[in-house]
Amino acid sequence: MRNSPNRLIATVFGAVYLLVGLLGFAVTSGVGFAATEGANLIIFEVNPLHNVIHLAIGAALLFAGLRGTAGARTVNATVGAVYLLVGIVGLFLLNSPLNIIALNGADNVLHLASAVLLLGVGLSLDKSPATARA
Amino acid sequence: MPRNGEAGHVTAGYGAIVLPVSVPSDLPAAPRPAGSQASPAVRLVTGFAGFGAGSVNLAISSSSLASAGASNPGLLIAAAVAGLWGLALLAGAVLFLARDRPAGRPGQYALAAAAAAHLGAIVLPGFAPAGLGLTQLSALLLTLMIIASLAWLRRAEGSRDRRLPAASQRAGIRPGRLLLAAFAGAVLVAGITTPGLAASTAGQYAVPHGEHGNLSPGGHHQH
Repeated sequence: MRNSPNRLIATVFGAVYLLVGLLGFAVTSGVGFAATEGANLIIFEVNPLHNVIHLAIGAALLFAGLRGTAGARTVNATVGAVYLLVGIVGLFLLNSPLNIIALNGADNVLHLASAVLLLGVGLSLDKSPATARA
Repeated sequence: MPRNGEAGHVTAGYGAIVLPVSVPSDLPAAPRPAGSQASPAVRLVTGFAGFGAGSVNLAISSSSLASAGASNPGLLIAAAVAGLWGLALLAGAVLFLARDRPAGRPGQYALAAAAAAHLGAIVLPGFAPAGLGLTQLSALLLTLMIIASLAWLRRAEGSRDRRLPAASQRAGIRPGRLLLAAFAGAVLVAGITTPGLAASTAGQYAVPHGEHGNLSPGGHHQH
């Protein structure tokens, strides 16, 4: 696994997202599920819906990272592409809940960074049959 | 260990040059070019900057559309140009990363023209929709980042061609270090892109996690 950048990044990001999702439930007791008023987890404002999304993304990344290189590439690229696509579509739907990317906050910087990193690594690295078996 | 004169197998797993290659083990240890360690990371950061520049240009397009009325066809044209250029940047970044297809001469001219247009929008009043100075600056920085890193890659590839086979050079790169460098590049790109997006019209309506439901423009500005 240490020879495959995709497996490595999927495993690390998966573990971090899972941890953030689990810790998020510790700080959002009493907060409405989809809601409106979140709670702060370090710099991330989260609510239970975000926690579920973090858990789902983390589980998918961790599973793919532990499973194999081809799956890790696919999941990395898919997670990055979906986030970037939702953000870009949201730029044109101004009054929509999809308009999530255009905020000047540290959590948005980290979300965008993880999206481009996952998409870029998924598209660019581990293309050889040799490393696909790593 | 292969004995003197036998072929040793080296597996390189980064970028397009990835198949196992045979390297005669009795070759003298050639000095590793400085670019060989950094090339995959620079390639990734170039792609990240392409995603960022594409997103910011689409935000410029969205802002121009939002402020363009039926009486202002100039803004509609500006919105169309920025939107098409943003989509081209996104598609170019995907092709560049997925197929290692570098920007040709027309692409380089288009990037230079885009940088000049962003600069003109910043320094010349009336050249572009008002209130997008920070967004244009963000787009300019990301475009310059693409131009500079493409030039660096061309130079690194040129020097590599004159020395060792590419695969043997890439074999020594550690994935952990590569990913740390790529993460730093991604944070840098996101740190330039995010304020640019937030300064656009979409940023005035964007939905913070804790303020769903309040969609009045200007209510969420955090810059």
